[in-house]
Amino acid sequence: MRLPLVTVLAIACGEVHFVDPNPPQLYRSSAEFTAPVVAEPVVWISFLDLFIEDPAACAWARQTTLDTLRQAVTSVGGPQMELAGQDLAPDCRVRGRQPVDASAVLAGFAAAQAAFPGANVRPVIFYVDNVDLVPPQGILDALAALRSVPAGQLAILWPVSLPSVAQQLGAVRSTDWTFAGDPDLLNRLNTSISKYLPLQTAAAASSGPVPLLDPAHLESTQEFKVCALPDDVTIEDPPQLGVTLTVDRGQPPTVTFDLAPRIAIPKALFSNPTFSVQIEGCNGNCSRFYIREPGDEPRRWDAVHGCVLANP
Amino acid sequence: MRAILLAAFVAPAAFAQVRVEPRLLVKDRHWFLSGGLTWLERGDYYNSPGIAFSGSYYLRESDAVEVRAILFASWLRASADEVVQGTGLVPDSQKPVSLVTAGWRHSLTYGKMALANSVLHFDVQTGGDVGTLITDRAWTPALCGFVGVVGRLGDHFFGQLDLVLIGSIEHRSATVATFGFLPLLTLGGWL
Repeated sequence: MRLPLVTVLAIACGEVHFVDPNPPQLYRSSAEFTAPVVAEPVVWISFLDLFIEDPAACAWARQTTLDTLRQAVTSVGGPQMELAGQDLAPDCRVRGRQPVDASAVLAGFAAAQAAFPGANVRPVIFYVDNVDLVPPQGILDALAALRSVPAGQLAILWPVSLPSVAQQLGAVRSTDWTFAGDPDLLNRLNTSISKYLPLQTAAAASSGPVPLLDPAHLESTQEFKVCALPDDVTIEDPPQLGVTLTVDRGQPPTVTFDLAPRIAIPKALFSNPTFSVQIEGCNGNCSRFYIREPGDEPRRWDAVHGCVLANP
Repeated sequence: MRAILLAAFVAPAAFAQVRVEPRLLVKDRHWFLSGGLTWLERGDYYNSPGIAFSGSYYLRESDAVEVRAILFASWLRASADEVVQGTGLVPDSQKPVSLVTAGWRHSLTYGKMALANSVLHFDVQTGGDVGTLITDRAWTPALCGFVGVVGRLGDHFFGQLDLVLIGSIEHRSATVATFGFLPLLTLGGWL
């Protein structure tokens, strides 16, 4: 609440306070660290398992669905690789007539990993099914096996199906199927896929030494205090809070965060917090008096435990 | 008859044949110039004696415009100086350097007073000035109100005592309104 000037003047009428003509030259700043993040390449494969009553529409339905899927994944951007898909119902008459060729899939996964050296390839398996029935057991088993290839990251199973099928597959993410050639399928795929892809990785296990003072402050600062440390991360040999520390320009003060690597996480589930260490620095007159408000008790800054300036 | 003779005997003026002292402090269309001493007291931890110069021109017998200039020789009081020496802390009040004002002066009443063998002619006055109190850090706006007395000390000479209340706006740790008391004693002449 702001008091009117007249009130302020009346309250403050003629008061004289003692002040330090050379008060400590203080500032507040923060040393921040955000882990570097990379977007992983999108490696995907499709399994079509469609039942179409009209045999003449089978090829059209398959091609239309596949094109829609390609368009949706392409819109995500970044490096991508589509592995050779498999048609589990070639004539669109019986689901699962063609068994999953696991070795071909695994070879595709391996090729993708080779194509993106250094990347954390986590394939996305699109299983397209338009029947509201439990998928054949062979399909369920094969897909489950492919998801947990021990050599690589756990693949993501992404049904494009009726909700009951997605549930039976135990999929976390899915896109609802309506009918072959549904013009809205692309929108639904775009919406859901762009939320999760590309996958995000912050692989560093340590921040390395993070300077507490930026170069300009390192030049000017004589002493500093650490006001606050982040409480959601482990810090190696954390500095004492509120203690006056003298700046040694030969060994600039740093802090090191221990980080939990996060590998190929869906975008919607990925968070990358910025860790911040609050600093109060003193550029001069550090042993002189700091007076927070007129009339407050004068305190010598370097003798006071804790930071005195308000948070910026 | 005896009573009249007795009264005439005890009244010395009766011997001089003076019945009414004529008005001798005539101000209309005159310049009154004076200089003197003052002391600013405003609770700011400073001793502030000063020398003052004042000039008034009477537009008519009871009203004048005036200008005033005061130079202060301010220094910290012993109690504040002790704090400064001991801790390095200084008062946040500003050190008065000078005061320059202009304003209006009005005569409330004219009087005469017998003093020993003479008669003092005087004028009780009031008025107000605006101006600036110049400090070691800034020119601050100042407003003055006063009551005073102007006394005739001889042909073309006068003395003037003004009791001035002064207010100013000053930036200390915060912006504050300050009030002070400024007695002014000056001697001068009129033209």
